[in-house]
Amino acid sequence: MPPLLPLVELEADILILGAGGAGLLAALHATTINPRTKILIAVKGLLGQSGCTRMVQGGYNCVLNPNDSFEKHFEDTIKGGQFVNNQDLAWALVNDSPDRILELENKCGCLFDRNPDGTIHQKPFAGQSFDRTVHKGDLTGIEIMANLRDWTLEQENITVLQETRGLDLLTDTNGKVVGALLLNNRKGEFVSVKAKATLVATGGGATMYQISSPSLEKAGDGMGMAFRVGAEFIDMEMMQFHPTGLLVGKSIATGGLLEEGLRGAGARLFNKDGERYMERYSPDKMERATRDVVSRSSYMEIMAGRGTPSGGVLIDATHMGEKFLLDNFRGMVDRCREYGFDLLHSRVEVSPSAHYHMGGIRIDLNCKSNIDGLFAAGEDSGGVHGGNRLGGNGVADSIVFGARAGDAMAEYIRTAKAPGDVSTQARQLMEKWLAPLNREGGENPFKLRDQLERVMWRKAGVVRNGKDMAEAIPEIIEIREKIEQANGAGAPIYNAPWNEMINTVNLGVCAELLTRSAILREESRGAHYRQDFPEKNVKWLKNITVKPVNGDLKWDTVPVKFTRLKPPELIEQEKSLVH
Amino acid sequence: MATYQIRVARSGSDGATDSFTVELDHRMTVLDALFLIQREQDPTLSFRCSCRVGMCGTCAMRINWQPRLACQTRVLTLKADTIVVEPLAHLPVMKDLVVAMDPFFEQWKRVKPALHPDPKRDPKKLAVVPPTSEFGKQAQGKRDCITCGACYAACGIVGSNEEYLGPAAINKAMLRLMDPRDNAVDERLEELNDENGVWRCHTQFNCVAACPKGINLTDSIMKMKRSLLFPKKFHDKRNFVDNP
Amino acid sequence: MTSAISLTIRKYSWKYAGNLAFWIQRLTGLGLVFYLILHVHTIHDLRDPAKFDAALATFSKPFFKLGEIFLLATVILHAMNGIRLTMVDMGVGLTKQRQVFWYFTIGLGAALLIAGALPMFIYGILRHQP
Ligand SMILES: Cc1cc2nc3c(=O)[nH]c(=O)nc-3n(C[C@H](O)[C@H](O)[C@H](O)COP(=O)(O)OP(=O)(O)OC[C@H]3O[C@@H](n4cnc5c(N)ncnc54)[C@H](O)[C@@H]3O)c2cc1C
Ligand code: SF4
Ligand code: FES
Repeated sequence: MPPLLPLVELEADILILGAGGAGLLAALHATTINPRTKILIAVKGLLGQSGCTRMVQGGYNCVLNPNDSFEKHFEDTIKGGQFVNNQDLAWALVNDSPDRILELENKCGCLFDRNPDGTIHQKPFAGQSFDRTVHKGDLTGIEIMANLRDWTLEQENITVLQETRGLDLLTDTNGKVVGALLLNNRKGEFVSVKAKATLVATGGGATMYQISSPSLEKAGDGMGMAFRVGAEFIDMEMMQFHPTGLLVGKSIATGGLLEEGLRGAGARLFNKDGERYMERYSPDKMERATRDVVSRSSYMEIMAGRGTPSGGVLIDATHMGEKFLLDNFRGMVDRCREYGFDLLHSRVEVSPSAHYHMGGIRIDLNCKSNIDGLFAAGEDSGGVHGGNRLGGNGVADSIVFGARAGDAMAEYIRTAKAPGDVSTQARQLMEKWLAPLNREGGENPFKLRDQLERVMWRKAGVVRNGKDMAEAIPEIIEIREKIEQANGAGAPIYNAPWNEMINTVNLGVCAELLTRSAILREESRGAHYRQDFPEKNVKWLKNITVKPVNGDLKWDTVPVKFTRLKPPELIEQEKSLVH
Repeated sequence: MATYQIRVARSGSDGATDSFTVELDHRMTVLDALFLIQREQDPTLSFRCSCRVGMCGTCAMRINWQPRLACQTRVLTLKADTIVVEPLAHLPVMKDLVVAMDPFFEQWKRVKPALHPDPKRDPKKLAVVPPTSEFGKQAQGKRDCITCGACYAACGIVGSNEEYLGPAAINKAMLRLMDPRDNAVDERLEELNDENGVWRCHTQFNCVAACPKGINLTDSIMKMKRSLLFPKKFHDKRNFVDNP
Repeated sequence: MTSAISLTIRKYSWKYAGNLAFWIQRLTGLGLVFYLILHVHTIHDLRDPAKFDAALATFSKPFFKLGEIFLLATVILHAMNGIRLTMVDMGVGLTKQRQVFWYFTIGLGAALLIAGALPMFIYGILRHQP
């Protein structure tokens, strides 16, 4: 007799999936507006101890210095994103982020690093015209998440279900999202939550690559769920690769990051022959070039056979001196030491590492998606960063838009009707997800996940071309089909294969959307680099959007609206037209 | 590459351990060993982790009897061929190496971990906190707690009395108490000034030895004991100039 | 029961100074309490001068001298560790607690022990005249 797990039915005003910066800020803001809002947070890991906000090293960008300005930060962001950002979203990011820092400090109790005179310290970060990155040492995320967690713990209106993952969103007959079906891994039970507004903030799916930096539990769940209810996606081809992921052999630590600031402070990159190869790719900026340029250069070196035997390049910080490194990059020195590398005295092997998905669910300024009742924020959403994200804008994005989502949902639920009964739908979905748990035989989900990661790394990774990607599509589709038949048998609590199966289902969705999108964009821009179209093309000042319609994908390209800043090439073109 | 015996405590039947043989290279950690076992030998094995780089604090377990982070413990450095992996002590086991952190966080909540902002301060201004200020000095090296629970599992006093606050919670209370922006001073002091508060500590220093972030927890506890004994001195220290 | 004890020992039996000191303090403390009771009890029984002299003669035998040296060691350990704990309470040497334990409690304690035990050993045991 196959186990039939219990279904617990809950109700809330606001359901938040994911407790990274975005999720918790939404809870904070909704609570501030109305402390009696019943909020339910479901988080796949532990509260405050999961997700990438926890792992933020470098810091948080915001304009605090009178000599800096919103315009400068905005311009950096747009230039970094190579002009395909949604400018309204980017402006909101820039505009809100100082207020959120005040909130994090004065309301939640974070304390970021100070100058000797006690004012806040802001450090330089690549791609920025002003030193505006607020940080706490090189472990900023812990400070943010620990304090947000502590705040959450004391709120009576917030219920947190830890180690409970969202499986699918629930919809009413009009297609409006009215909650979600969750799997509580602790108790081995399903939970259906009825909610007036639902936020997905599960932090994206960069983990679809073989070498990646995010926390291990993340798997594009939010995007997978939203896709299945018909949400629209934007910029899916834009995946950022961090140039300095640690290469720790077969260890799971591979992909974990060495902080960008290291390069900013002057660390050098060498190939196996001891050549400082950035001289060839970016002679003026060298290692300080933007992430995409450095990642690509390293990748090409490795592909050209000039990488180390384990497929990496070498970062060298020894010339900066022991004292400087210990004072400024203590965390990174320690991290290297953990794996037996000596950053102080020798070169350390690194490789590009999939880091951040700029693309995601298409949202408006209030984090609303195209589906009524469904909100998205943080890495699950897209549009803010365009073709490339500046270091320090990621956590700012999740904090700023998390807060916006909180405000918007608080407003939304004032007029939203209480959802009707969802238990039939919940039971249907539950049966679907129960199948692998009761399956005998079937595919090994761990193997399929590995296979997906390898395909993506080789064929739709740092350097892409049309032919490889066209080959990748059937492979991804095959994996997506096979994973439906995977075996997740075992106990219903903390069942690793079962969870891996669900992860791979969602990653498969993201992978396919990413690859198809990347095939469409026949140019190179930002993090998206095509060998067969190595140049930027003015015709591609557009965003690619996609949504599922009746089992098919509906693609669209939308010209970018330059509401605040026009790209120089467009200005030139217009000039030449006038003449 | 070297071969190791990994003996993992399982939660199925009482006190049972399962032995696995795995091949690991010199950079691999206990977490790697567990992943290898789960992927290739026994998928029913359960353990917790998220960041795999020592930031999330979810992978603490007893490794050769010491509470440590699995992702930060290279197998080579253990200098043993057999490695015994058990769940953290003093916390209820949920499955295999996964423990419920609830007792730890119940104590944590007792000290009011959140900031209770002083209403007199201007929320639109950032506090001026020079590193040389009293808070800057007191907090130095104390703010890196990742709530992994290693100290809680190491403390013999927690082991004999589960009502005890435990080292991490007291450290948290110390940080909030020294924070010039905070206002819940009396409530926290009351919680600390209790037979199950700071006075329960017998300075075993086990927490200090176990903490993966090198936090000197006993120092914080002693600071709080002295603050309770000499309240005037404590309040003088708190009132340094802020927002001039 | 044995498994519970071995489990407890395993749980805390690291070579950590503070932990060791904690157990030393408990054990020496217990030992001294036990000795004190014995001491008071013996004295109480010696109100008769003849008995008193006989007892003193017994107590100056080498075996009892050895016991005294052991007593001295216990007292010194307990006292030095007590001083260490007072320092801890006052916040002295907290960042160097391991060194304080090994060099102060154990090192200095051993020196004191040798200084005190040497004459006891030479005059009470080596050159003991019955
Ligand atoms: C190593 C690293 C370093 C970084 N450094 C920086 C930096 O220096 N500066 C910067 O600006 N940005 C940085 N970033 C990027 C930044 O961390 C992210 O942009 C941002 O934190 C994303 O926040 P989020 O709230 O969207 O998601 P996350 O913080 O990742 O949170 C996702 C949450 O959702 C939960 N979850 C996942 N799936 C489910 C599910 N199915 N159901 C329920 N819950 C689920 C997870 O457990 C987690 O709690 C870094 C990222 C990484 C990986
Ligand atoms: S104080 Fe140290 S050992 Fe204790 S929970 Fe925090 S990080 Fe872990
Ligand atoms: S996995 Fe995060 S601390 Fe070990």
